[in-house]
Amino acid sequence: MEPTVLIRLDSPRTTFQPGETLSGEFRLANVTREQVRAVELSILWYTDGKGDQDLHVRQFERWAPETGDVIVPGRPFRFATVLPKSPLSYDGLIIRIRWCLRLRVFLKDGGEVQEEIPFRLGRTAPARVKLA
Amino acid sequence: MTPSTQVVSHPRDPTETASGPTAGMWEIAFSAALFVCGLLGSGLVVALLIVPEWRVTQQFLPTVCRVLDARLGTTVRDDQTLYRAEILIEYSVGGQTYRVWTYDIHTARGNGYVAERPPVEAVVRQYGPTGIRQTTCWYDPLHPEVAVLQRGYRWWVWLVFSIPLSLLLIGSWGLSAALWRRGKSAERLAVRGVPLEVLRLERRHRESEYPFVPEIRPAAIAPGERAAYRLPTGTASVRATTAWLAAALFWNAMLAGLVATAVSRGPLHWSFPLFVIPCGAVGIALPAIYVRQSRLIRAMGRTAVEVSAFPLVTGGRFRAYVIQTGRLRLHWFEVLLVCEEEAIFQHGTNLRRESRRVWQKTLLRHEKLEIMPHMPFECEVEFQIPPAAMHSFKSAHNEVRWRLVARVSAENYPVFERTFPLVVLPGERRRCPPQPGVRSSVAAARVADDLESDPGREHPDAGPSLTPSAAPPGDAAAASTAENDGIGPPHPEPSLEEGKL
Amino acid sequence: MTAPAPKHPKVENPFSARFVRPGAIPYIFPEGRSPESVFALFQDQNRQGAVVGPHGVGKSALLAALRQYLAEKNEPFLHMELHNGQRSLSPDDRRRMESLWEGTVLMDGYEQLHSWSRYQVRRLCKRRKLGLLVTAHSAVELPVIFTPEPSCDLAWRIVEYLLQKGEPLIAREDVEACFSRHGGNLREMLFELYDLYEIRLHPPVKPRVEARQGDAGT
Repeated sequence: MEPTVLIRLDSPRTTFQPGETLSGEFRLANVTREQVRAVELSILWYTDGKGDQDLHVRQFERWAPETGDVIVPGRPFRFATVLPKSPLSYDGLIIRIRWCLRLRVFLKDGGEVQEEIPFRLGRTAPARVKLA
Repeated sequence: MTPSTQVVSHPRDPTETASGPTAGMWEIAFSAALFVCGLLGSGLVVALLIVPEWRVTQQFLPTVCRVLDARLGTTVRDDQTLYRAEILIEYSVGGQTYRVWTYDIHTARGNGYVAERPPVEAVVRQYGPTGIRQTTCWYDPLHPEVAVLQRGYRWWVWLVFSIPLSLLLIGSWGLSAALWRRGKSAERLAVRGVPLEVLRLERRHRESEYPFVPEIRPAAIAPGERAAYRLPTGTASVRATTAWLAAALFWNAMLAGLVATAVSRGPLHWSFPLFVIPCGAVGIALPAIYVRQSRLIRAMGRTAVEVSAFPLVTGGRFRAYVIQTGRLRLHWFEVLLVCEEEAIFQHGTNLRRESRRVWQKTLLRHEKLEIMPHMPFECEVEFQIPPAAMHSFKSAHNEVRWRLVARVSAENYPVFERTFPLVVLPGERRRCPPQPGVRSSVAAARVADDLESDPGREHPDAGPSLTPSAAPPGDAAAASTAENDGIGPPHPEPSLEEGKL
Repeated sequence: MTAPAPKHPKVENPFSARFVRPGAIPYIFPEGRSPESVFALFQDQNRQGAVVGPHGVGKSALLAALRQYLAEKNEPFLHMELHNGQRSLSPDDRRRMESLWEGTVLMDGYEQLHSWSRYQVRRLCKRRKLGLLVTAHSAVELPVIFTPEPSCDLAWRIVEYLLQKGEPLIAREDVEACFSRHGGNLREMLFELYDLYEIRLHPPVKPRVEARQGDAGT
């Protein structure tokens, strides 16, 4: 079976407000401790649209046996971060701003497993074209 | 959704250029050559032309002298006869009597020749047998045998000086830039992979309460007279006008110098007018453009906008005070609140910048009014930033910006506009009245509460940005509540599943 | 050539910049051409050549395809992308070129170097027996080995590939009209299709009709 990553947020919502804490846990499944080289968790925003992509990592954590971390598949890893006041998620005409939580598992055989959970920060209204 | 990543904090594409520990040798050599030539040339001009004239004016001492004789001195250079006035004077300094042929400091130093004969002959006649017999001369206290009858600065000396000076400036700029790069390379490479502009941006935003919300320097926001803050203007018409003036002065000065030099050398070549006439036309056009621009700016006057708070916040209500000076007969005058997006796409040599106006609201519009120099137009207006609007945002390649735009259509002038940048922060989520409305304190104001396309601009079907997308079924209650709150309904929320491949 | 199916789920707009930038779309070679044949032509020209064409026809995309081809063949290469206004090689670029003892230099934007820098590049490549393949908007000192000539058909195949990431909201007629409007500039065509896709994904809303407010005192 392919290695998998299971992510669970403490809150059932996918829209958060600035200042709220985004927290949860993740577990590795279908993988052994010996297979895992490192695990990286990022909470980030990125832009999309007609411009080059900009990206900013709000929080970055890395676990790796080489730095003394013990990665036990099946054991939950907790994470938490306080979300900033900006930038809020946005749907524009030529720019979008998206937030997500991204988890990467690097395997010793060179493979990589990635999982992502998008979420919204704030409640901005989308920009839409109007009929004249 | 897996966005392709170009994580800024990771090592960037190695093909991107970066300063290394050594600057290009050719760049250094070229800049150094310019610098040395400029230095030598400047030194020569200063030593041979400027300093002597300065010493005559500042350090030479006056004394009475007798004029004994006057003659026309001549020499031949490049097959051309040159002339100078040579006046024989006698004076006493410290008990010793000196007799010297002189006129000005250049003559005293062995030069002073000019191409035109008549003015020189006039000087000779002035000191001739029927002319001045006794006058004041100035002698060098360090070398009393050197004396002159004329003091002052020649204008062309400074023109000559500008040439090596410009080489010196260009060379020193190039050298310092190369040396600056040399010194900085280790520090820049230490933060490997992060372009310096992004690094500055990121460092500032890490420390900011509102990351990636652009800041306007506090010094740029002045206290207002009618409202709390006076906004800086985003337009640069004054700078552009000054540039025209500088260009006109520089061009005409160079042309005048060129013509004077050519004329002083004697008869002109037949092709000379063919060169001078078009240059002269440019020399006339440049000041004309400057005058027109200045007239336009004076007539257009000044637009000042003051706001009751800065920065603004989404959902907030604010007051703006608008002042327009000048001498104008207006067809219309309007102030708009606009929100725009700008996206930059860059690949190699291609840079593509696109802007899109996503929202605009006319805050006030006046028609058919006259502004006189001592009777500026003033108006106050209230406005609200829509609660669910996007706040100001700026990253390396993408921007959402808010502005107040004052647009004027006046008789005899093209439509012009002035922009005033705003910073809008994300507001707290709160309840807002459903009909914000706009009130104007001026009875004659007609406020358009629609979102019209801007005439003359390419807006792709401009429209309101703040119409929420349709709420999913089952979310109707949430949608209506959200609308009453002044906030668009939330985006559909999928049920959360544990993430899996 | 059939473009491979994308590995990612649906995206919001498949014409976003990150999906259309050079290298993001597998290069579609004309009939009878392939990375091998283009590279063979390059080898025949003493491993010196230029890909020439106006803006937006796919020069950089071709270079990206050749880069991938060389990587798959384990052939050493050095890719350099010159930036707008860059008139000379930086010391880093020069050092990287000097540290390459075999392989090919792929240079995007060669023509904006001034003559002396271009001469230095050619001389260095010749001295070290490196191949030099560049892109330019017009003829340069190197032999032209390929001139991308986009067609409506090619444009549609690119769009078809991109639409696999999203919804089938763009028709062939749209592509033909857009392609013709932009005179064969694929990049501008794709950016215009971004807007068209957005409009069709989120159809325009009708303006709300509200009672106009009276003057002061509402």
